[in-house]
Amino acid sequence: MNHKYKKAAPIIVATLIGILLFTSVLLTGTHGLGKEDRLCYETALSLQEEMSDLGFPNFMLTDYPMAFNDGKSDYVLTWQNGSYEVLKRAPYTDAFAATAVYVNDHYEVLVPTKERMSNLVGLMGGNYENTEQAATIWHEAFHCWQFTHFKENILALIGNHSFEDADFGENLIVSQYDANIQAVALWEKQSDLLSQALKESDTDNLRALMLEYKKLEEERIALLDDNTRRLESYYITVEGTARYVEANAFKLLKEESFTDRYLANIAEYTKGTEKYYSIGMAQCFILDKLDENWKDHYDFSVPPIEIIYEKLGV
Amino acid sequence: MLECINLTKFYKKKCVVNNLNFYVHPGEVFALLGSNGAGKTTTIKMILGLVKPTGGEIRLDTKLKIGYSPDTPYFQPFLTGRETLEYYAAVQGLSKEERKEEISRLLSTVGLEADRTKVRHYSKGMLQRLAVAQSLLGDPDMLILDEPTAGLDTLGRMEILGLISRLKEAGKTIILNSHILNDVEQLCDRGIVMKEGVTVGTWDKSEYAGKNLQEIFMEAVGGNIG
Amino acid sequence: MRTIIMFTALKEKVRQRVFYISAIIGIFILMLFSTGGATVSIGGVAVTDYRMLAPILLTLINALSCALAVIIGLGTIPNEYERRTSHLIWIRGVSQAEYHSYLTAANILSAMLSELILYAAVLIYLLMKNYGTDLWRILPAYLISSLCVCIISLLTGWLSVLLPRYAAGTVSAFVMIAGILYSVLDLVKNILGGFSGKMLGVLLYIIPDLNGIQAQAGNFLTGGDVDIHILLKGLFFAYIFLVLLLLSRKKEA
Repeated sequence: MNHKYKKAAPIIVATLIGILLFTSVLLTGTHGLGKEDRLCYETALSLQEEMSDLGFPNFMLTDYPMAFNDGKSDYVLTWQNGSYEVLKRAPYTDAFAATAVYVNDHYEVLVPTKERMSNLVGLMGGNYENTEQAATIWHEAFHCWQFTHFKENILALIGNHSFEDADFGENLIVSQYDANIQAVALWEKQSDLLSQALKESDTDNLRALMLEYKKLEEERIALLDDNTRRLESYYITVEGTARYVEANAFKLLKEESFTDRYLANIAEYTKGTEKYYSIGMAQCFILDKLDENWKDHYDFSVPPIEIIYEKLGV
Repeated sequence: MLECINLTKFYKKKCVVNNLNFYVHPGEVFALLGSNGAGKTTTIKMILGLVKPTGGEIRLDTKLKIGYSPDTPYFQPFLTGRETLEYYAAVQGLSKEERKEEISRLLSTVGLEADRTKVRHYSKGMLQRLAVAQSLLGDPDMLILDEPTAGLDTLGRMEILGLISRLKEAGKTIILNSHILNDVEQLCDRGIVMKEGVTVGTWDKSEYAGKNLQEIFMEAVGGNIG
Repeated sequence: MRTIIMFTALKEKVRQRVFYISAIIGIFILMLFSTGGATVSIGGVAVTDYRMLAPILLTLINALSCALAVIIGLGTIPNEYERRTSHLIWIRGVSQAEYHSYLTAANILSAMLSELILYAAVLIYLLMKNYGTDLWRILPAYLISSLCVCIISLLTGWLSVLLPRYAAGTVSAFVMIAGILYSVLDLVKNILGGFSGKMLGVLLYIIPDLNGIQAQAGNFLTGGDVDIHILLKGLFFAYIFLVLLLLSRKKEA
């Protein structure tokens, strides 16, 4: 009898260890939204007052549910009565995307969890911390606000086209614009002017820079077909302004890195639609110099550069 | 002490041991004879539990201590002879005190006591002696020796044969696999002759007093002497 | 006393000069990072803060250590059977489970020692950069990271019992690479979506998250939070591979 128990003892112990390990794994697994993502959301929330002061009327992060996607589920944070609730749901999309999505009758912010964003950015040689995630949240929240209040004006920018068309979007820019050496050269000159304008404090000098910018712009636009022009307007208006909001949020959290991250590379040409994000943002910062209150009545029917021309009389 | 009943082994579709039957009495030296590929080593491995029989039965006292000396022994080349024996003695579970005395005695018995060289520098004969020495660790009741004199010079061969003889006198049961018929004739009491996995002849020293083992062997395997 | 099987196998590893290879790699890495031969830049900005550099160094060391674990462990058990050393062990009443686990233990120790040599390079680097206050973190970080090496050694040991040498090596190497690239594969899974994404998701369930474990070592080293869940998952994988090793049998010696 003793011999039997002696033989069985190691097997029993091993089985118990296995059960213990397995149970520990289950118990320590993430059930619900991780601590770090909650922290990112709370960090973004902490900026709400200052971001309201930015000037876009009634633009509040708490107006829009915030969904974090961890690859298996969405965790939706809804602000109610001074705090937020977290609800788990099946993923809105299987795609890896930080975006604004229309769910039922409202827009929601949807971003991958900070860990997943960090992995992706890390793969591309970048760094992605909680600050970057909070700024991204504000970027996407701004899209929610844009589409909630100005959807018609925004859609008018692209006319009858749709982003579901494979030929309309990133592909068009890469094939039509980036391949056009002349247009690229003009763009680079324009970006350089914008970069100078950002540092310029004298209104007369600024006017001169913008006058030259406008001339180059007219020359460049003439090289583009209608679709490309519309797409440019769209991206500069919609994404450029969202990048501007994102940059302001980032600046509130990490001012020392703001210039390097957002302003240092304005003049650098990048393929695809990314360049419009930067240019649109730069135009917003220039507008800030001319009129702090430009956001009060901005309706997204024209790119910010048109407002600059108007204000400078060019 | 050992009985094999209808022992059979198939490797895929090839039968290498076919219905082998023999028994070994306690205290006797039993020979397995046969040319290459006869199935002798496979039979030994089945007895030792290194290979699982396809059929048949091996009746062996489970408490029996068995020592085995392989035909092509491999020992860790970076150990000395003494360290090698210490290794196997430790694996076998002999205590430190038991080991010390026994290892010295065994090394002396096989003529390696003075040697301090690593096994990598051993000759074939020295390796063979070390193999026999490790088979004697723990004073086994039965020894299975696979070609124990292979590669030895005349003197070495005589020493090992003398050792086996002394072991026999001490009452050890020995199963000997050897190609050297003179050695078998000198040492063994009985044996079987195998060919292609089958017993083709038996030999008992007491019964074949008038006959030469070589003649019996050649008759059994179907060859000619001259 | 049967631990002598493990120690003798370990001695054999030492004599195979595996550790010299680790030392050479360690010295090379150290020279590369300390003399500025390797400049790591993120977003165009050169990384000099060790809090950012340490995880990169650790990733590299972890990958190398796991590769060494496969190389070290691949031939240990098969060699014993090819040389027929196993015969003289089996007949002495040592069970296969015991025999294989001692040999695998030797592999684990060898791989851990190789990794320790590489970690020594990190230690020297920290000393050179005068980060004295963080030196005490090195040993626990090393122990966390060595879980990867244990997992790979156990996996390799188990596979080498069942499969021919090169098949075992291929599978081990595949699992090792997938484990190191776990976070990348997780990302790809989501980008792919559909059936391919789901298949990749299934694969990720059976691959140990070596990247995650090493990240926790990095977190600990730099004073960050350690996710115990990932470490427990790793331990569970090690447990499974150990059980599989103990249950796997060779038909013949």
